[in-house]
Amino acid sequence: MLIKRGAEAEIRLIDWYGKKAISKLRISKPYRNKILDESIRKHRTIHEAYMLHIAKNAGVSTPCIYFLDPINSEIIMEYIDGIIVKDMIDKDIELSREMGKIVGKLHKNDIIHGDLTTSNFLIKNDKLVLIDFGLSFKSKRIEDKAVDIRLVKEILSSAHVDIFEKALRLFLDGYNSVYEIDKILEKVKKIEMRGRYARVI
Amino acid sequence: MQQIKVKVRLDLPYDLSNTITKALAADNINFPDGLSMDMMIDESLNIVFKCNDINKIKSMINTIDETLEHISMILDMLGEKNARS
Amino acid sequence: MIIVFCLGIESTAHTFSCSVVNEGGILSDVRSVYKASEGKGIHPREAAIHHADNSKKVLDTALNDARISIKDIDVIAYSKGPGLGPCLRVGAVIARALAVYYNKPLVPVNHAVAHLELGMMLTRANDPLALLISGGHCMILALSNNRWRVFGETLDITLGQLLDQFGREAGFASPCGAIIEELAERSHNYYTLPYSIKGNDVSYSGLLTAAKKALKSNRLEDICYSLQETAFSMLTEAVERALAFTEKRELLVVGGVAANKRLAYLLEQVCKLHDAKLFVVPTKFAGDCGAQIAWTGLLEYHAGISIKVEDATVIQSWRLDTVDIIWNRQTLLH
Repeated sequence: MLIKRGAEAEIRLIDWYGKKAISKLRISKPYRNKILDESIRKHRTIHEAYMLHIAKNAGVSTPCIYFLDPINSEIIMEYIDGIIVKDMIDKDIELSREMGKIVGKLHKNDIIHGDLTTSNFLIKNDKLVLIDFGLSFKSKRIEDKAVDIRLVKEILSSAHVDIFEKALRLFLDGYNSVYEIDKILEKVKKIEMRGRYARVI
Repeated sequence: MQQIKVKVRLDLPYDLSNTITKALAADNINFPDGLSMDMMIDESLNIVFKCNDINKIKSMINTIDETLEHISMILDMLGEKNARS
Repeated sequence: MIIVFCLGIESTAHTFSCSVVNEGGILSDVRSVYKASEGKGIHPREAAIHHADNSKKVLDTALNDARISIKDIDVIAYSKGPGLGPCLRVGAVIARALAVYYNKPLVPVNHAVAHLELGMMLTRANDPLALLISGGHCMILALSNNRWRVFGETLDITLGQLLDQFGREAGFASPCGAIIEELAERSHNYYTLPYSIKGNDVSYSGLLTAAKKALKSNRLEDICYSLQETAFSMLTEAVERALAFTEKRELLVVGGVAANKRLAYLLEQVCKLHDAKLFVVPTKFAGDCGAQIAWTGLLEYHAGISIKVEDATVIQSWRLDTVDIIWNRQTLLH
């Protein structure tokens, strides 16, 4: 059963040897050159499986992988029966702090998620599970960590306008309780100056 | 300290002098340190550029150039090109 | 309803333009575009001189085309920013002089917001995710709580800058988008270039460096094709991510780069995937123009916004997501 047509994959709820499971199938994009498209889908599929695994080792809750099919760009993984933080955070702002702790843990282990939107955190039994590692990679660079944080800021300021400032503060608090944030925040400012406040032409 | 002063005097009807003064005033901010521009209206429009830093002469020339160009544009626009300076 | 005639003056970058609008629509839109010499970028002071030299002709033609005298104009709008200082000042000086001399109210307009407002008016999009792509902008936005909020953007250079800087390296005169598009159509050989997407954001600087380097040992057509395909796919994917995230059912594309047919085609594909309707601003009004300033000025004027001449400054980097959208476009659309 198709449950979500995401930005880059079709998410289906399937039966996997008697267990509920998720099939994430990266479909070919009509807007991408074929060579480029195939290489992106294959690379992201393999990479996502690998990154889900090392994030779990770093102590972050992620879905378990059951099966990987790089040829068809498909991953079969654990079904997380939860709701997305995007739909809850405006009522339960403390979720931002929890998000911060999780991202802090990732960065402490040099894992960059690459797509930290509020729809990629699921709430299950009051705990957060992080999904969608298609754009993830390993990096020690402060710049890469800062880009991750900047995206959180962008999403909070655009999709969660009413709680933006408080949510961001809680997020940074949570992050800082796990991993030192000062240097990364300085870099975030620099990136913002570069792109957002870029002079015209 | 050496000061360079450039005075521009334009004989114009009052309404044109008044228009120019007001039209240019808003940009008369954030000048580099040591550079200034003052405008006064008596029977003519008087503009005085001052620069007290010899290294800023280039900025001064640019400012004068841009200002005169703006004035000429305004006069052109308002259909009165009878300035004597 | 009383009919209000608004004169808009645009002078943020290459284009000097004047336009007259009223509630019924655009009555005139006249432009003069500064052309940089081949292999060179825009020179702000030279562009400003071009604007000053052409201002009277453009203004007179805009008034003539609209069959109106300056005395019968009700309000004057100018682009206050963001843009190049010397260029912005030309438009602002003209607006202030006309406002003082003819005693007319003056309305400041944010150039980027104006692209979006004119796009909304011309396409009748209602609640879109908006893509603003021009020389100076590369942003994915949506309106919420009275502001355009940024859902994605470039982390370094814009798509327009990417095409321009690559084009200049190849020896073209900027803006270079059209010639790159033409050359790209002659090739189907894809040369792998860096594809960098970060969430809903794109990063083009790595792609620019690689494409410039690839120029030295490959056919120009092939690199134009590969550059365009890579850059457009990245942007389209960022748009797709933002569409999926916001669940909007409309996509509005505005700004000079919106005129690119290949990009419009790719965006159409992505809209199909997400059951969204695509609205592309008509090519004639995609680039910088007086009409965007005049129309937005009219909306602002109806909302009671005006500015004293002495406060009518220019702001070179005035972000559009700091502008409160307090006007009601519905009352003017019929």
